[in-house]
Amino acid sequence: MWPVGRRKKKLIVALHFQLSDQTGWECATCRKSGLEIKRRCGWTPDALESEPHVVWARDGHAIAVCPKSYITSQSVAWVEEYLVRRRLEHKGIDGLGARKVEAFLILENELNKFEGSGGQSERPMQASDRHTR
Amino acid sequence: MEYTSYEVVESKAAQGVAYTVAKMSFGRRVELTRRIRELASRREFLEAGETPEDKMNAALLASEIDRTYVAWGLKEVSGLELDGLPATPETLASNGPEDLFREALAVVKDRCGLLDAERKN
Repeated sequence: MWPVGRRKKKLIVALHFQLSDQTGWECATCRKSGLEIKRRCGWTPDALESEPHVVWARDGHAIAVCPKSYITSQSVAWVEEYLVRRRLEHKGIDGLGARKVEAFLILENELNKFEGSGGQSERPMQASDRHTR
Repeated sequence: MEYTSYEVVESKAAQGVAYTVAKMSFGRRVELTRRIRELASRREFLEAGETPEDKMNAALLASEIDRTYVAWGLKEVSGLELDGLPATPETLASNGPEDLFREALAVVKDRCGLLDAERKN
């Protein structure tokens, strides 16, 4: 099992965020529109004091802060490495650290679920997304 | 086939100075993502702000990103002494002439495949 649940969630959010359309999440547009409080930007201290609510949701995963400030570099690096290995059909785990192997297993499981559901991350915006986009 | 994972680039700004720069590889690209992404995202956020404080912090982060690029991609500096000691990538960044640091940075970014406009950011 992944030892820290929050890290696992960050990894899964990073995967779905990478696979989704990110154009609505550019800081320049967001801040000019004054959306950083509403979207609970992790880099805006006042925003995190606001009432928690779902800001971003995809494929059964939801977070109450802006995904851009939520996702870590480590998660993105693992997602990128995993996607390339998958594309190249690298299946071995020789030379990989335990945490990386665990991360790849989580991503594998998540992508299998995602593909099984027909790739809903690419779906058009739903009515339920409207308050966050 | 024999492959060398680095290359030596002669300085145009200072005769006799050369930079040993790592070539891009998949593993190194992932490593660069790991080092840069959070800084770059945060800088994007600050650049979008309108206060002088945001602008100043964005500029600071941009410098930090440049330093990270050099630390990541520059393996060695030859032909340059700083305060009587051979220069290293770390001392080039901390105490070296800024034009040489900028030149080394440009070489590293070039090897990353960054376009001119991206390099300026």
